[in-house]
Amino acid sequence: MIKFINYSYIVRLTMEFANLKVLVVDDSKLARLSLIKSVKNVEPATEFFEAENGAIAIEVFKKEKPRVVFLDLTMPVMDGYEALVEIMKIDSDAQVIVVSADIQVVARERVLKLGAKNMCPKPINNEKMQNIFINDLIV
Amino acid sequence: MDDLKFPEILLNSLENGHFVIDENFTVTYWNRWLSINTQITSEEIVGKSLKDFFPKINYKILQRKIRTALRLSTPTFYDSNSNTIFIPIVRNKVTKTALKLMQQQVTISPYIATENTVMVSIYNISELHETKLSLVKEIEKVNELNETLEHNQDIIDKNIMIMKTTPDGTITDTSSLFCEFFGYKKNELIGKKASVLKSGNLPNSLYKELWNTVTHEKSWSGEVENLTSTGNKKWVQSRITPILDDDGVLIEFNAVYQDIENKKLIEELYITDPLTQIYNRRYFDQLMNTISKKQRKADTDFVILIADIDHFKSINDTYGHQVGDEALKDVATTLKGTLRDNDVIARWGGEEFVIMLRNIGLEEAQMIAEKIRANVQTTKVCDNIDITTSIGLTKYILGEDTNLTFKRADNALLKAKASGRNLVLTEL
Amino acid sequence: MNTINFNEDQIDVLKEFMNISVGQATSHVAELLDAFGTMHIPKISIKDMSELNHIIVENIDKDSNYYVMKQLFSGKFGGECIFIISEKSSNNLGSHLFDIEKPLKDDITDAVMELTNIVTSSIISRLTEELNVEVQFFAPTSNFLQAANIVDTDDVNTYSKIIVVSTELEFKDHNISANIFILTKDEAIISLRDLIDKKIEELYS
Repeated sequence: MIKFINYSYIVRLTMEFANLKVLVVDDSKLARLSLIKSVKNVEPATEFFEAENGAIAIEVFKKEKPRVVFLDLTMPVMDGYEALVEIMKIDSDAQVIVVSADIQVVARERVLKLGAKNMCPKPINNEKMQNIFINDLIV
Repeated sequence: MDDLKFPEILLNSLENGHFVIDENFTVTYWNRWLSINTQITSEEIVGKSLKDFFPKINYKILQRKIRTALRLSTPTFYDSNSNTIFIPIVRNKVTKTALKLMQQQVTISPYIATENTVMVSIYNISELHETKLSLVKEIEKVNELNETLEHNQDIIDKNIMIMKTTPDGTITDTSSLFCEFFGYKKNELIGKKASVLKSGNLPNSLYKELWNTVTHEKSWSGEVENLTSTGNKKWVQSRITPILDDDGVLIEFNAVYQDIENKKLIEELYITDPLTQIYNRRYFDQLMNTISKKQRKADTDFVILIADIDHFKSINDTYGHQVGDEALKDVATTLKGTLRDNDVIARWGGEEFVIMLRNIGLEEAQMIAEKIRANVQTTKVCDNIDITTSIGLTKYILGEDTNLTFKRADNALLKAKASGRNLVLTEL
Repeated sequence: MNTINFNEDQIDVLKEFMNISVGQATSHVAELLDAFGTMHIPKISIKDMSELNHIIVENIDKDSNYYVMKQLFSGKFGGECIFIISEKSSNNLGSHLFDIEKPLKDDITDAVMELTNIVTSSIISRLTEELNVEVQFFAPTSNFLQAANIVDTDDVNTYSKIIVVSTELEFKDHNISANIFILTKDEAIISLRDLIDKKIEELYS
């Protein structure tokens, strides 16, 4: 099954050359960098937008309409929960992946209920990212 | 690592208790130390629940600790500070303390995660605990002593005037009473020179003597007049002690003061005539005494005057004693006002005054006496009563008994009286 | 001693480490104590040991009493964890854990001990896992102290750096805030910084 999806994904990649727009929201610069690296590893032709809190994320989201949002939960100014609600209001089809240090089951249930496609515990790595692209996202 | 060949022997030879249980408290291993100390053999307990043997353990806590150890793959602990007696074991050791049961430190380590078992290790820390208890007692004692000490320091601070200075006289510390007495706040004094307290009324020789004493590593005691923050003068008895370090180097001065205002007041009263507020005969006698004893040249060049109010008895009889008293006061004031700073005046008794004019020739003394006489004549008692004095004077002759001096002055006075009063006469 | 400094990037990585560690700790606490905890961003800083007194005073109320848990861990990344939790927070924790209104002092100590155990081992295990070293934990000691008596001069002399982690764990209605001070020696802090540098290098490559 995985093999099949993986294959179709490669096919699709060769068909479409349009850049994938991804928004990375995290208050840590290096956490964003780390996430960007792992996305590039899976999807080299990606255009990245960065935001260091929920409030900035919403502004960027409105303007750039990214296909995918990677969202941290604990951030100053506006946290991930709030940002998630706002993003879903703007676009109910938004693809938000929550990437968080908060790995409680309850936290996971909560973000999924709010519309996140999945929740991935920090720290992120290439393998986790690949699984996200394979299982959770339509790009 | 190779598997241990005889793990049983190893575990049984440990001087600690070790047993293995699962989340339901079923015991799967029980080492020999435990068998010996609890009198429960491995055969008896293995396969059964710990609850059956030790119902008093709080199993809710134990369960949480077991779960924590398993989930986090980390050892969990019971608090070794509080009185943990996990498995009650009576101590064999004869002990002075009340510690009858073994004090234990308990660690729960993950054993086989897949089987949800943990190893519980029990260490005997009774002796450590006893030491700790006795240490706590010692600390309590020390604290108590410290409290007493602090209390005593507080008493000293509030009841004794103390000032500390550096060797060059800069104030480094003062007690509360010191500050209160001189009307300063502590921070106003610290850093200042101790000389800010000098009244300036004492002879420099006194300070020289003080400095000379304390810089020769001796304590100095004496009475000094100091100034308060508002400029009032206060008499204090002071004792200044130089403090040396181990190498004998002067590091500071400690000064302890005592309020002697009352003493000074009594001394003053003792030598003061209560009516006229000038010296009394007692003081003058003392003065004469020291002069005739010491015979210092500077002190022996003086003239004695005896002044007597004329017809004082009739003033008393005519106007009453109160007016008589007023006359005495007025004359005393007039006399004092006519004298120089260094001259001494005392009430000799009744309506007689005695005056010592220092460092003076006879002629000049006669002029002063004449001035006194004239001034008294213009004095009006109670604004309308005229009054006069007769004065006899003589010069002290070096080496003579002061009684002779008085005798001559008295003779001169008598002659003045006999010669019509309101007159100054001299006997050589 | 004061030459070991962390630049902005290094601090950022350390914060992310700690964030993840505290996240794990929160999750463990939540699971083991059977309660959902709202996670807050822990405040992380690295300070000189000489500042310990100042930092503790800054982070706590000087007029309150505190439960202070100290846990030694030895190994290449050795040090001491000081876990400071206010009397009020401890009471909240105690009553929640034991399901009673007014828990006894021993109950509270035990509750705090469990929390300390979970939080410190989550954080230290995480760090040591990243550092690829092993540590041994020693039984923690508990003390109920006045704010002014928390700092032990011996601590100040033994260690050189402190990793300060101020965090707030919010469980249901019970607010439990705690401060964690990880006291470390030069050697440990240098190996931590080397590891962080390696991570940064990987990121920028």
